[in-house]
Amino acid sequence: MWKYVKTLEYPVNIKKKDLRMAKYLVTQYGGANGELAAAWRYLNQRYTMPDDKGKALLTDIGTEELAHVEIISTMIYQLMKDATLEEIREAGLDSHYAEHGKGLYPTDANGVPFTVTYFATTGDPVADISEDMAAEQKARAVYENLINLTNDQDVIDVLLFLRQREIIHFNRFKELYEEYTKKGYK
Amino acid sequence: MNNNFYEIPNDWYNEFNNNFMNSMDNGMPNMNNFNIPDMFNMNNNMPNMSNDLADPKVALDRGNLFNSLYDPYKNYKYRPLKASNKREELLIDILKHNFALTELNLYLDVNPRNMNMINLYNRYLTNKKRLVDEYEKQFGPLTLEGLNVGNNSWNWDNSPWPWEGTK
Repeated sequence: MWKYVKTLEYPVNIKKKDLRMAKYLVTQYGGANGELAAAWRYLNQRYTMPDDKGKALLTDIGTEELAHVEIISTMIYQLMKDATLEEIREAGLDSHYAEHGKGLYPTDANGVPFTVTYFATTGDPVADISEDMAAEQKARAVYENLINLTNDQDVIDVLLFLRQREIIHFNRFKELYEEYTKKGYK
Repeated sequence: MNNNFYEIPNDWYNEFNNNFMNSMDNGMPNMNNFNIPDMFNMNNNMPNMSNDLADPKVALDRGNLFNSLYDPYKNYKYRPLKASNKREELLIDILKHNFALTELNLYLDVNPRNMNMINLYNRYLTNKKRLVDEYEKQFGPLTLEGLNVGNNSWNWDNSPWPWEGTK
């Protein structure tokens, strides 16, 4: 069961609209290495973890990823909300506008809609946790690409925060992975 | 990494106590607030052998409570979060507690026997609950369970939605 808390994990207050950045950022919402894929990857894999550590860690990191979906969504919303139609066209978001207006929709940076094929579940805890470690590293790399694409400090602050979370999650998964391989879990 | 020794940042609690006393001066004494656990006096007994835990006030700013895992990107520096009004000030204080709890939560999932970390978790949780209570009395509910504080009206939709940012 989940309950809503009416706050972001980390505050987002972006003052300047930036349609191009919104277009890139959306990949961390609905792209292959995005937060939505991360959340469902962990929350879906947790059922077949072999012990309580794995069940707890995947539940809790999966839950934090849901909070990151909200942070990314907030960033996209704030970057887009005051845009004119002209600016939307200029940024190449006119095809998004045709389908969704200024509404949010989980896609990657090329507009390809979110798909669950972005993650796997093998039922093998060592295979699943090593996928999770790779996912955290890939998300970290994408956050770095995104930081390189902007000069807006309000955007960078949030991306730096999210990037650190990938590092923490990677290390927690790694600890679990090492314990599972030592125990010979399959 | 030796995970058995963690320093509890002292000023985190001192500041909390000051805030607490100020809130009393503002004229809303609540007997629940007197539920200050003995844990507040444990600071001096905590092992002081590692600096791996950051001050939680910094931890949220930089996205990481653990010094040994903190890994900055290029020359980018994190900026301290700034509140633009009283509501945000209290909210950020809650978020800082909340973030420290998340970090300890993930750590304890994998290292469930670390008593220092469990004690720290309990301490932050007690503080957070008190701050949430104070926030909800002044600014409306953060969860549906915080709804009926002091009045009978439906105020869930009064407080701003998180994605709307500072107003």
